[in-house]
Amino acid sequence: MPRLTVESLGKSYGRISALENATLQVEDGEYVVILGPSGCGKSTLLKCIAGITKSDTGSIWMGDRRIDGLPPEERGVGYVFQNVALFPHMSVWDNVVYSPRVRAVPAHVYRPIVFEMLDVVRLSVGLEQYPSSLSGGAAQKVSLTRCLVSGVELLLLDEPLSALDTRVRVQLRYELRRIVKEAKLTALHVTHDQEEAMAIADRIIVMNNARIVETGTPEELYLKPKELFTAQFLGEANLLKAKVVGLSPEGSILEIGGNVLRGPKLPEVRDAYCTVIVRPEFVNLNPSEGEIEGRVGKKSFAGSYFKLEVEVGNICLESKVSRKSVAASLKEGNKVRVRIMPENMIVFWP
Amino acid sequence: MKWSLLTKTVEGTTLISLFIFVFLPSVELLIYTLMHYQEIYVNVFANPITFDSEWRNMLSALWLSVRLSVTSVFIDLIIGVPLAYTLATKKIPAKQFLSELMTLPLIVPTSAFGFACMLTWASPSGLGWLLGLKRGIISHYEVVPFLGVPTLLLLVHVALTLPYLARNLYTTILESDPTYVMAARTLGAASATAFRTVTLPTVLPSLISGMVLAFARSLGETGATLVVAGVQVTASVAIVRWQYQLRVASATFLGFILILVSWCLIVPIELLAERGPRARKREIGVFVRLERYLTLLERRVSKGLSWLKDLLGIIPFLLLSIVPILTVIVLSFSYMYADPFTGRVEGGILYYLLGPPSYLGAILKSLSTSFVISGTATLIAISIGLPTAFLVSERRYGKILRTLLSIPLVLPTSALGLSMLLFWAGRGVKPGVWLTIMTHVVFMVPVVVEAIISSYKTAGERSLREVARSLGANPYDVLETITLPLIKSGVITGGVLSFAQSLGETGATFLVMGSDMTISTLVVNMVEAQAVPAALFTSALLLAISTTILLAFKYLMR
Amino acid sequence: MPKVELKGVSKRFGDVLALDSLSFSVDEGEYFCLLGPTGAGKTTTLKVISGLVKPDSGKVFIDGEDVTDSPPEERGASYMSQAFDLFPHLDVLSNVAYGPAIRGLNERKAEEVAVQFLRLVKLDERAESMPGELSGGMQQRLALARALCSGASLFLFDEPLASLDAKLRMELRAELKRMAKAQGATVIHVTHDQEEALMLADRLAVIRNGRLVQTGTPSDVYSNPKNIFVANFIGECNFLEVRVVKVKGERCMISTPDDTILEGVCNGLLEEGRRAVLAIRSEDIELSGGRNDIPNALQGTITDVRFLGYYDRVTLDLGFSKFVHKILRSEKLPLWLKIGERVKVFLPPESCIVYPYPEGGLLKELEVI
Repeated sequence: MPRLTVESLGKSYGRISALENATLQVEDGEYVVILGPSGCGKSTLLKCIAGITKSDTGSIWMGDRRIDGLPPEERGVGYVFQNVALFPHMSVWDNVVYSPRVRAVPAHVYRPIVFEMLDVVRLSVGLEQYPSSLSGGAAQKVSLTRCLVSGVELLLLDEPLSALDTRVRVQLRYELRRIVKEAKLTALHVTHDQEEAMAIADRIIVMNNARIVETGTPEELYLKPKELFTAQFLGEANLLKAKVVGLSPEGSILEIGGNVLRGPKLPEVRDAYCTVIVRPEFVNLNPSEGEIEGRVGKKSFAGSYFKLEVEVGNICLESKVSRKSVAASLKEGNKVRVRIMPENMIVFWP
Repeated sequence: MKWSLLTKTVEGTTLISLFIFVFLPSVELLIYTLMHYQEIYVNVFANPITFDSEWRNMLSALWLSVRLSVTSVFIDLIIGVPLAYTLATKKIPAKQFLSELMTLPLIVPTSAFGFACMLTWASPSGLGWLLGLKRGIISHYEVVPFLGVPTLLLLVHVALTLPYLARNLYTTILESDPTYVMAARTLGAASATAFRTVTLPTVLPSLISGMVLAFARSLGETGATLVVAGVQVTASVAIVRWQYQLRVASATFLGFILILVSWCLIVPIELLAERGPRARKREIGVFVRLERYLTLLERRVSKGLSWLKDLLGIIPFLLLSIVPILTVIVLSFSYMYADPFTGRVEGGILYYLLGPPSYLGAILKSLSTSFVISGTATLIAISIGLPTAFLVSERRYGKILRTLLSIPLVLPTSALGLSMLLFWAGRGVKPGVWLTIMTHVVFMVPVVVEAIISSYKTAGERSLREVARSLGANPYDVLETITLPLIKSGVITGGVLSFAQSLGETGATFLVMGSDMTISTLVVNMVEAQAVPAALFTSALLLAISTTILLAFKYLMR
Repeated sequence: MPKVELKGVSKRFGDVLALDSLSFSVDEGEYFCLLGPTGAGKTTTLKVISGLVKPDSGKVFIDGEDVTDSPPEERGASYMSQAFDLFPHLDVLSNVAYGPAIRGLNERKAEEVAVQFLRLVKLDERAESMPGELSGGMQQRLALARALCSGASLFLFDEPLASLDAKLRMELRAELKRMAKAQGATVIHVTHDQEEALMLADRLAVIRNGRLVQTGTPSDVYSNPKNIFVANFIGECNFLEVRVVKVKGERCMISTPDDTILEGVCNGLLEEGRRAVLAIRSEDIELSGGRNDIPNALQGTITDVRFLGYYDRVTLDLGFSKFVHKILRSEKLPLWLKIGERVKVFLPPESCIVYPYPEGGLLKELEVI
């Protein structure tokens, strides 16, 4: 029995459709990330599941219990907000014990749970401090603890890291996953940051324009996306127009930007032209090995790798090379040979 | 002219004007009392003829005022909190309209409103007639049991002070982050519990300051009270009566006490409220168990009776504040040609206006006097208020300035009038149009300043100014192209609000107008002369003017 | 002669020292990034340069002239804030034309110039919209056009991309630099995003608590971080608490908590017998599944392998510490790399940098959350 089932959920504001026909399932213990650009409907989806927003159509099930008609306090769902939402007039302790208090749970019952959760989260702030004196990351951790203490089994996180400094964001994201897994919870996490999504998700749901586009593991969506939107939204991609000039049992022959390349196996040919996605890290550069000739354009440093623009035929490709590779010593203007393995080309038909 | 020189000149001039025209008159009464204490003491406490009867009269007037004001605030709470909460959070039809209507009692001419209430509740031609009674719903002399407060007066005070509490609260709830309540709900709190534990503590400062303002307003309320009061006299009315009876010492001393009482209450409470809410940290056994039961109760309540809470605020508000206004306007139509009950033409409005009493002339004259006074005062108030608003926002002493500016707002109006008389009469300004204008400026400047400051803040003016400077704009350019356009709406709001308030001001005007009459003091005279149809017409006219100003203004500002 | 120079600038707000004797210079035409955590003093620095904030001490020079006492409108430095601060009462065209108009250009001319810049940022179709009607990305482009159109030669960007979506951020990053370079302008760009700084900067400076920690080209600062804070703030680094055994000129030998001896490069004053910290970038570690003994290696177990798009993130348990290893996808993932495998973690000596143990403790130095 999946922990959460959402069927054909829809929400409109006047004539603007914020969410259309959303259907998804989250299994017990899964960490699922909903990924999409601003305004794609991901926050609306989350808010409908929590009961903060009333959905227009569809149904929401928690296990075998239907919850879409219930007020938020009866759904058994925890919510972590982007702007933290710790009660400013209460200390850290009072915030953390808020949930059991408002459900009339006696102190001797909730105290051990609270200390257990404080342990799991590894909170290092004073319990008597007030939210205004906490850093962004610490505050978010307190917010998380507050949800955990409420004893819910499904945790909804609405862009929990977006308001934090990049450095804090990067470190806290792994903490989030660890805490959720250790507390044996199920999590549904919304973000627009694809790196964050890939770093912590068991499964990613991609959304755009109020609709769900595609679902899959980070690896599936990155290496074998079924939709062009997914291919472009996750990671970086070279978007190339290709003409199918030949087929063979091993694969195909493609003409891209004036170059002829070996392409992947095409189960069907729907058109003479297609769109080919090649990720920059699969554009292999070498001073001597490779089928196509090219010239190095702009080079930028990105820390652990270099980004190189390569002019090949009449197009420009972006390539990522690691700092220690041979290609790292290439300079602007150098001649270089380019190789792209057929299995690293993803083909989309118009 | 060099910018810094210009700013310094303006700053100096503004501060001086503020001092002379706004602050000094506000405190003059205190200074005068202290300077002439010997005289006053003799007159009030040890008068050879009346001994300390003056003092006793004063005490009984004060005691009535305090009872009245405390009860008003208490009822304001019961009506105002649900009203503000419902308007700010629930989706009701005409919500926008209702919340704008809340401003009406603030600018309504108090004398006209008092008359309207009297007519509606206590006369046979008001609602009593609708219900088939041969008299008013409540009698003019009826008194609330235990409290000994005239019921009619209480209704008037509640209606007039409600906006101070409800509007304050409404704006605060509106501006507060709804995320906190959402968070509380997702953590398992019923909506009533969320309100008590999360919303209330954060809006408490605003609630307290609203209560304080409402109390001060009630304490100083003169215009409507003059019209409605029967035998019993409140402190502010006493000041007016005694001044007219030339019992100056008593009037002065009473004004002095009133002001002192207002300040002694307001200052410590405001300071307490500033500190910000901190939830109780103790986990005392009894409280904890109490809270548990309370939470369970709130859960039940939230589910069932929420519609009751919605109505608890709106209906009384409409009843107390809007119904009297409508009644008066409707009645003035039915009284137009003749008294509808007796059929006598001599009891009709037209008779009183155009016939032998010929009130029309007086009405037109006082109307034009009013417009002249209010118009001039508005212009003066804006010219002082605009630079003051800048000083409050920019200078380090701005906070102090702002607190000082709240003093005229809580001053009892009759005490203000008295203060103005004492200050300027000795300096050659006799009661009349100019003294009235200067009196009105005292309470109009804070209104204008507050309106401009809030439009300042909403526009985020400071950071826009910085960007403009870095794009090459010098301070003059910034003022012309950025600051003034952005605060335009604030200036207009402040101007219109204070104009309307000035039009309806009665208490202070009564004392300083001399032989000229404004239209609101004219109403009081008409009531005292028992010229009911004339008072009816004039009140209806005044109320219609105020309402039209408010609605037209809000519509234009959209 | 540098375009901008700060000498000993200090600024205090109440009892907080926002800037502590800050000194640096930026050359003409440079794209300079100021990188640091929130509250480090980045915005204050920009405001001091633009003249919106007066420093308590120190001097500011623009084009060789001492401008410390000059008002903002005379410095020719255009400031773009994080919140964009678009004039809400003016339409898109008037916003962009503001700069030229205020400098005396007649209305028609100002609008002509403005239209050119609108075309540059592809907003020419929205010339009559109001700022409130635009999306976040469009607002950023509008703010950029307005700044560029002002005719200034020095641009101060205060976290210009912080409020945008991750994807949009990456796309506009390149545009930002391209447009500034096209105008031949000097840019000081402030950010807390080290990836952004590395990509955009010709030169960058790391600022912490009002003080400059390190200045240099991106690859300089990345390869040779001056201290642990910089090493941790830029890129991903693994840290080990170690003890110094021997110092031999530029190299040293240290011992790990489990008494393995490793060789590393000295950075700073190291004393034998004292505590130290070894830092190595996550992509510099090499893993080997073989049984052979390799010098300068530690024993570890793979606890997690996460797919992160263009690289894989391998978490290793070394017993006394946790290490993170980054493998770029262009280098293929070895088949034996599975969770639970025991591997040898090779730390190339030239990539191991040994720092003296920080005074406030290692955790404080690494404090990010």
